[in-house]
Amino acid sequence: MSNISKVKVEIVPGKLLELKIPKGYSVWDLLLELKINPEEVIVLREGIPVTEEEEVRDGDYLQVIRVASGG
Amino acid sequence: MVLCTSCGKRKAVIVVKSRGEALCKECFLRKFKDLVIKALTDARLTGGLGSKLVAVATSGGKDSSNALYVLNELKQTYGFDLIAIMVNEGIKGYRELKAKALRKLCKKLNVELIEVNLRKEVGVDIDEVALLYERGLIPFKPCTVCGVLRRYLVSLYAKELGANYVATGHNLDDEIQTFVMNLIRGDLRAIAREGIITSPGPEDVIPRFKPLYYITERESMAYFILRGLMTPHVECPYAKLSMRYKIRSLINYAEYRYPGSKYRLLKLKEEIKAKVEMPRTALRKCTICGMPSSRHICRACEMKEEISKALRELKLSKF
Repeated sequence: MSNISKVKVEIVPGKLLELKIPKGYSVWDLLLELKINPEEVIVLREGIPVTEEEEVRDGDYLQVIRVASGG
Repeated sequence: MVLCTSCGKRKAVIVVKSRGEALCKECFLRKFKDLVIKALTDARLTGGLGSKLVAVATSGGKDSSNALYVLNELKQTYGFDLIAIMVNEGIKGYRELKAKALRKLCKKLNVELIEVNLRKEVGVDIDEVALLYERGLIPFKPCTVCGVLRRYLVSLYAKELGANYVATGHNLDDEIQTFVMNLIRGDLRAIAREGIITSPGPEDVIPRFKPLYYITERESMAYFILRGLMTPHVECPYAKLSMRYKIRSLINYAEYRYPGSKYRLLKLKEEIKAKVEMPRTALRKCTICGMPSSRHICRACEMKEEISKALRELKLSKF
């Protein structure tokens, strides 16, 4: 069994990353790996927000939405 | 899987570390509404909203759309009426999308939307203001002009519409960003002035309140998504020019390293506000537009004057 998960991460709007990450990585670990402050985003799986403690699964498609929208 | 700390049954969709909560969709949506009610209560509004007209300053963004949505849910309980005002500041590629989403939301909620066009009212839009700033013809950043003129036009239209209150979409993050900006500027008067509701003023000054005062920006985005209000993500192209943009990153870093920082900053601001008594500046009427102001000529008219001068210079330079 592989110790690597393959995931797709969309940094909204428009930037799509295909990543290989260690199995057991949480959303928090993934964001830090991408140098994104978890406080500044909401992560969605199938359109529903997930907590940072959530484990990233092999084959996941995650969307990272920046929360700051205004000026 | 993290379970909801409120119901203990369902899967949590958001963790709010500073409040020690992990909430499922249902409990989060309820909590959001409760926090708006807390803001109304702390603003001492819950008893006085009956038969009043509340004008919501809307932009089509997440915060003001959420404020409109929740106030619409609460209007029957507290007996007030709602109207939405949107100032179209003319930022290409940004405003059209937001305006479209807002029109759709107002239609869904059956709330009347009053659209105000900055160019029609003032003779300039923010794209043009940005050009003037870039060329060094005016000293104000586009965000400063946008903020002042937007506020001015919302007040003007709210008054014309007979509104008793203006509700804005400012959230907890906005509030503490303003606090830190005022700290950096050393402006104690401004720190003492900012709050959940404006201090009582003369009769012709419409009080403004902030229903999302206790809600973080992150929670606001989660609510926007979970309520199905999400629209295509577009950022204001000028946002990065503002001081707020840098302060926001700084505070978010503090929250990440030291969870609870945002709530502690809000508490500190409230403590300072309670201890500092600032004599109220007497309000007079602006000699140009007649709106209440602490100066002979209000900030909006002063800006309009400078912008007109700069526009004339720009036109002359083209010949």
